[in-house]
Amino acid sequence: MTPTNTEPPPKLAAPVPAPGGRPRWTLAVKLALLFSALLGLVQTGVYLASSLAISRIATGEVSERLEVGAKVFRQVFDQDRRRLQLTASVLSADFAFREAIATNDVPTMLSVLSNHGQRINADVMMLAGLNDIVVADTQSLRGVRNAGNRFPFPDLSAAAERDGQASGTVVMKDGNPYQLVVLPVLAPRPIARLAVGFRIDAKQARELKAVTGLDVSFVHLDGDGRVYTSTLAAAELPALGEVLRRHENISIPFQADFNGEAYEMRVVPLTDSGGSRIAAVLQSPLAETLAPFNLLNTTLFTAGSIALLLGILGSVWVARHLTRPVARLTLLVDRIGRGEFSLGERVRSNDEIGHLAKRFDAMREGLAERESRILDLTYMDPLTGLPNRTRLVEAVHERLRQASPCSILYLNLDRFALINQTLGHAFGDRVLNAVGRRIRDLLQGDALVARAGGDEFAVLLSNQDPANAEALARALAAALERPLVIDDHPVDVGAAIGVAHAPAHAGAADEFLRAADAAMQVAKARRAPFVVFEPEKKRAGEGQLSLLTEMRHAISNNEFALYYQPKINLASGQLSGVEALIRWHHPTLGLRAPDSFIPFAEQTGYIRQLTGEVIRMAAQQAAEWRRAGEPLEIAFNLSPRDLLVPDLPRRIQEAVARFGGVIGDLCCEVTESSAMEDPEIAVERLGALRELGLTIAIDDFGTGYSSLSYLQRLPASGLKIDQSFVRHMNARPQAATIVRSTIELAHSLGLSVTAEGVEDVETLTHLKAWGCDYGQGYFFGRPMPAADFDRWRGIYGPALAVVNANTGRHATVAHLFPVGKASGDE
Amino acid sequence: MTFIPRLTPSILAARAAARAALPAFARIAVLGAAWFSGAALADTLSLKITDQAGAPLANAVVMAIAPKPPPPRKPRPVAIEQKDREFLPFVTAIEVGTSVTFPNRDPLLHHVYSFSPAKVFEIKLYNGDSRSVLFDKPGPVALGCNIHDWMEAHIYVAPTPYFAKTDAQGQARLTLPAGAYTLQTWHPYQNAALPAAELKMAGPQSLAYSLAVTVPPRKVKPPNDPNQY
Repeated sequence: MTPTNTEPPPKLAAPVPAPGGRPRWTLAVKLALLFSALLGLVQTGVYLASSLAISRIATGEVSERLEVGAKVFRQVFDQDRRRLQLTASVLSADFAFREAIATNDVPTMLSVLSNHGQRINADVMMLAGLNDIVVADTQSLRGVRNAGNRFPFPDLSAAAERDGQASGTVVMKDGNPYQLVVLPVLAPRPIARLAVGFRIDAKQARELKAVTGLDVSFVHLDGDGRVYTSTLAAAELPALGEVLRRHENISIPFQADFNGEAYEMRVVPLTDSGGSRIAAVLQSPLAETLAPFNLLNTTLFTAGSIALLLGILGSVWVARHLTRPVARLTLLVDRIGRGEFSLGERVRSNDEIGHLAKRFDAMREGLAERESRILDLTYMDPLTGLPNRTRLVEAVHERLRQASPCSILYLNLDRFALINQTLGHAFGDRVLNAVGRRIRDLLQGDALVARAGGDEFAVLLSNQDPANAEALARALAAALERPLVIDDHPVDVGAAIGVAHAPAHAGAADEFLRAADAAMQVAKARRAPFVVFEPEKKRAGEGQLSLLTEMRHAISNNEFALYYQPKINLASGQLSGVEALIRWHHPTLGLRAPDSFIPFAEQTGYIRQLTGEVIRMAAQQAAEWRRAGEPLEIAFNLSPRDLLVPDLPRRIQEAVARFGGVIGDLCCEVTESSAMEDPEIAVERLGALRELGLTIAIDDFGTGYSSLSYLQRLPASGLKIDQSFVRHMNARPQAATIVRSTIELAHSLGLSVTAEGVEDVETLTHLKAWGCDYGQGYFFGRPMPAADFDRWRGIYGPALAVVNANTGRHATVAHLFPVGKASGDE
Repeated sequence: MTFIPRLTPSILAARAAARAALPAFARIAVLGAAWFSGAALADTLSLKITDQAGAPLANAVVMAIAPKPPPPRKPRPVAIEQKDREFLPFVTAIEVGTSVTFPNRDPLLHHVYSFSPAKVFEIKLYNGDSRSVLFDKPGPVALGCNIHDWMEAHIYVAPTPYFAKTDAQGQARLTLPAGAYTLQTWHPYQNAALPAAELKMAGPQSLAYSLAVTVPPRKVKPPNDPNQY
């Protein structure tokens, strides 16, 4: 920003739409949910897995316990059997015993039996003859008389006969089951049968329970499922019988409920080789075995639940802790988005978030710096460091909006293009810089000095009365009259200054600037140091403001058309080209004369667009004629402003290329005065056009004051004598002299000459006689629309041939066809 | 051991005598004696005894009892050896009044006993030759050894001089003077005794019988390896 810029530029940043409200699923919630869900999943999984494992182990433990118990039971039971067998076999081999049997010595037999029975506490010692009649029985000592009866274990007896020995469990007369071993007494052939056995009673059941850790019941499997003895409470016995009856397959371990408790049960048959179906039922209450496992399970569940709860609390805390800086960062970013670059609350932490915050801070600083630079660039001219046109326009807006009186000095440097061209652009830039400095040095206070573009500067003066402003303008002009010294190089610049006052001259910024610009143009034309905008001109221009709008519409509506006026080779009478003249078919006003809008267009600069339109139409028409096989040179007029357009050659080239024409079919005409306005630019631009292949002609020759030397420098190939001379040639001898000498002068410079305004035979005759090359005027044809011109051409060509064949009189030709009434040219 | 009756010598009886391990010259002498002692006066009864499965049954004792017993005489003594902790032979048929000795050929002691009604006796732990035991009542006698439970032998005390024991082919021959007899058979493992058969000898005869037996499980005989004990 320059020191003269007294007010801060408006903010450049467009308002960033505020981001939406807090998202529903914030990061914290998501994180907390995720962690909690994961933890829950893991805990549940662990609990289920250990539960399953525990359940398996527990079930296994129950089976194992029963299995071990059953094994121990069998072992103990087998041990008893072996004791019985041992006793029986020792006894049966006892010689004295056998002798007693052989001699039927019953008292001896009984005493031997009870003696051996006592050794192992046998409950049954019984001897029977081979005829299965009991001979001796120790139970008879206890009052159970068996002697003389049949041996009560026929099955075991038969098995012993067959296998040498037999064992089993049988129920005897007293209603108790007995574990028995039966052996034959051999001498060496069987002479008797011996039975040795233990009674199975509550005492034995208790002992077995003590060893196996299981409840032991001895039951009868067939029939009523009678329980002989059991370690279970008496009340439970009917239920046990019921379970055994109900359960189908009792050969494998099974579970059963009775009296409200679940048991793992196992039935061990006790009958080896004979006897009744007596079995031991071993059972273990499940609850007892499972109790430690249930405790373990409960502990696991409790521990898991506590861990889960702690985990959830922890994850919530972590999520909040993690996301709090993020929320702060979000606020910070929101503020940056709104263009607030001031330092807000800092996010301080040493982790990634902290780093991110630091980066954000750096970014914020960078953004702030860049924004201020962008602002500077937007409102500043980088070359001179002065405010640019944008800033100027805004400042003007601002003033006008505040309705504070202000003035604009609009300044255009003279001959700047020449400086640029001869001393180089770098030098030109330094000149601009120096001019800017000089203007700024001259003005103090709240004057805004801006570079309005190119070699134009503007000064916005606030709260100055008009006289003061005009004095400043004069001073400025005087200051710029003094040569600038750059690298010890005095440079003459000078400037034209236009002055406009608000609110006197304008109510809107662009109007205000245009007024000042227009005044500058006038100053330039008048070569005055400064010109104050004249309100009358402005009023005249007011009607023309709508004209400008209309012209804009006219281009887009194709209201403009080119009229073509033939240009005749006076020597041969042949058509050598046409001059294209713009006409405006106004939708309401009809055909408008060029005078009514061309000067205005030139004044407003709109002429550039208009010329562009002319070039387009001419290029199109030239291409059409060339395609039709009748190529014709079309000349069009360039205004002085057109010459200032740097890319004019390119635009012409593009227009020709667009319609597929030949650039040599175009010729541009430049008025002498416009070529003189900025001679150097004119030489440069016209040279470029010439190089492009265009023919250049000097139009309206004679009205300006060009020097011959300058004329020589122009890359023109011909000149056109203004019709004001030609038309009055017959009446005014002076004019005739000018025409004649001009022709001679042109020829001597190697330029062809076209006479405009040829209206009668007399003029034509003179011109021919003076060697004028081309003629143009109503005598040959007025400017005509393309269609009319084509018709004219269709008649003129053949007619010319006929005439040429007869005489050489053009007078005849000119009257051969009707000439359309035209409003004249230029 | 088959007793060879003096009046009824036969070649078969002589062969049976040969099995009694007589020296070769003695055998020939016996054969010769048998031939000349009246082979022409007696007829041969051939018997074939099979078990319930049709297999030849050895060790069956057959005896023919004449209605009029021959005059009593002093039968030759018989020996039942104990060798390799077994009785040899397993079955011995003798005539009532025969004395039997139980020579112990093992380097250890035996204790022979019998609780059979026909003859209850015991010869307590002894070595070498034993005293002789007179079997004066007819009937079966089961022999055991009190210290070797598996040792078992049987003597059948026949009430007639005409008896024989089947060989491994289940065959036995009796040389009987012509006349009527009651024929009886016995086997230590027989399930039941066959009914006595009436027999009339008038020329050679052949008879076949089937006798159902049940062989009890043998008691285990431990191997005689001194190192094991």
